[in-house]
Amino acid sequence: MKDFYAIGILISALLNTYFGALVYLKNRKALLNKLYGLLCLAFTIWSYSWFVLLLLKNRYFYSLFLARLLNFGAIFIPIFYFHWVCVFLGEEKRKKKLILFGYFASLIFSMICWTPFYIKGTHSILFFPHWPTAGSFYIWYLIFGYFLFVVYGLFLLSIHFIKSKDVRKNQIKYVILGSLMGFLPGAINFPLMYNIVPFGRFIIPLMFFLLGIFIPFPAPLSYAVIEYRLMDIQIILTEILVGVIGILLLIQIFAAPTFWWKIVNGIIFILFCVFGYLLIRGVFREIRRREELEKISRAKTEFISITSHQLRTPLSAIKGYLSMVLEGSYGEVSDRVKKVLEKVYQSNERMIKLVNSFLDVSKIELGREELKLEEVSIEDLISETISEIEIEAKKKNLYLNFDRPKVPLPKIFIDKGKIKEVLMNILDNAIRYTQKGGITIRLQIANGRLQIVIADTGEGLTKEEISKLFESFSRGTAGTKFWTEGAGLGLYLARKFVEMHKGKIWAESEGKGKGSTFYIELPIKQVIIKK
Amino acid sequence: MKKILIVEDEKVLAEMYKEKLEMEGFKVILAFDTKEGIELAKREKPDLILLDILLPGENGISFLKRKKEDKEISEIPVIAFSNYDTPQIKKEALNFGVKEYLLKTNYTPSQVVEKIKNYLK
Repeated sequence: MKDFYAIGILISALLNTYFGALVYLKNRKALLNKLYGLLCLAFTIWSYSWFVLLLLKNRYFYSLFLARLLNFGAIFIPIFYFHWVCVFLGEEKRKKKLILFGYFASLIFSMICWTPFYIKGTHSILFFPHWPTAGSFYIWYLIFGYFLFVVYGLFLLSIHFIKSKDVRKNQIKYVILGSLMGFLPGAINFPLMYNIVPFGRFIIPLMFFLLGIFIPFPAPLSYAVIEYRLMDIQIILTEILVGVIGILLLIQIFAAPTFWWKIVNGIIFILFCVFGYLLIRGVFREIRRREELEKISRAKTEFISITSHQLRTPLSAIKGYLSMVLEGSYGEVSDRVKKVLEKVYQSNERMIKLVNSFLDVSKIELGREELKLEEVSIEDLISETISEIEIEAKKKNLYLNFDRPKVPLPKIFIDKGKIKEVLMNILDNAIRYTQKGGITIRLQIANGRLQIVIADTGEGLTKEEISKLFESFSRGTAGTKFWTEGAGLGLYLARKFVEMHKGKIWAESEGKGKGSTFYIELPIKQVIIKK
Repeated sequence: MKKILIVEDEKVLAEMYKEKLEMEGFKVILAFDTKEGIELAKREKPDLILLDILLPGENGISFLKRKKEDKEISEIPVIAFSNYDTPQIKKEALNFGVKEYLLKTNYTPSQVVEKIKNYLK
């Protein structure tokens, strides 16, 4: 039983060595990583000495030395932990005095640790031949080390957990989980140091159970730190996998019955280490490359976003003053001048629309766009959109028909503004590229999905045009021929908005001169039948 | 005469809205940042505040926060008026009880005046 317990402690020691080195080597300069490395080092000193102590038989001197050495490691765990938590939460400056006090107290404890005031000796308890016996001063470590810093650290984490959201909340959750896994099981050791056996006959299964929780505790903590540095879960999983297999192979070397088996296992272990390293490096490089690309794309989008916001200010001033001049706020304006100013006003409106499109695209690409779902009658929404755009169709002598279904369709939950923009963009395009005939809109339910079908008798589209139609910054050749106003963003935005509703948008055309049909499909789960 | 406080750092825009509002018979006070805005709101007790969100230093959200904490001015209605409209900022402003969040480019000064008149009825 003791040997099983010792193996558990050894695995824990190896995991701490592994994760401590992993996090520290990932970024040697970051204080957060350094502190984590130190925390693991303290745990490592504690667990390796504990492991050796468990293997010892009857040598009093060594057992006393090891009992003190393991406590020497334990002394620094609470303060490294607390300091690390403070840096992680950005509370370091505010808790500076407490952190300094912690280091000072730990230093004092670490000196007293080697005297009988801290550890008197060892005693046998349960199945352990040597267990450290607490001296009179040890209680102060429990109060000012373990209790104060660990509990307060957990308290700070909980406060931040409640306040934060999204990714940050997730990180803090991992830290809390790792902390509880690491510190709660540790608490069972203290009564034994005072020769008290709590929980009666349940104590032995409980100790193994707690050991099981304790062993993997560095995993969630390291995950939180490394994810904090924007690393990818893939690399962490690869490293955890390589690490765990490595540790098992290492144990195999010691467990091998003969010398030759030890050699064979040793060679397997070394080969595994080499390939494991190459694997991790490969995954790491791949992720770095992807991160770089994402960074560049993000920078571009941020640039568009900032520029567009800046553009809106002069555009508002032009719009405002022009509207006031046109309204006669600054005196009578002659009809001739008025006509010119109206053109300027219209051009400015076009510019505003364009900037809005850029901003919509950047919002989508930066993941800042959200759906505002509400119950909407799709027939009413289509009629509303038609009434706003039919003047454009009339100017070109085109018809714009809506075949209303005979039985009203149930209302659906959609973002009204966004779906209206989708309809607007498609209708606007249809009117632009149709010179004769007109546009018909109908609704149908296909495979339990709602389809809005917009068919025109216009230019038509080639297969190649259809394939590029909904991409960013592209326009059909018909567009380049007849129209140069659009920035080519309308249909891209339409696709993005429909996709946000988990729907689909596509176009069909039998070829040049044969008109085109656009389909907007919204899935059935969005359609909520009103009772 | 109803009093309007405009908190806006862009001088051209601030003066444009001031001019329009004065033509419509309002008394207008201008503030160019959050700090000045809070001071003027406390001193002048306007009937309504037209608040830009992107301001130098502390932004409009921080203005709303400080206004809410100050009982003297917490009840004055605010119309947020900005060219910055990310869903998050918008949500924050609405949570602080702004009457509306308007995008400057979408409204002419006359339309803004209409909105203001509606809230002061």
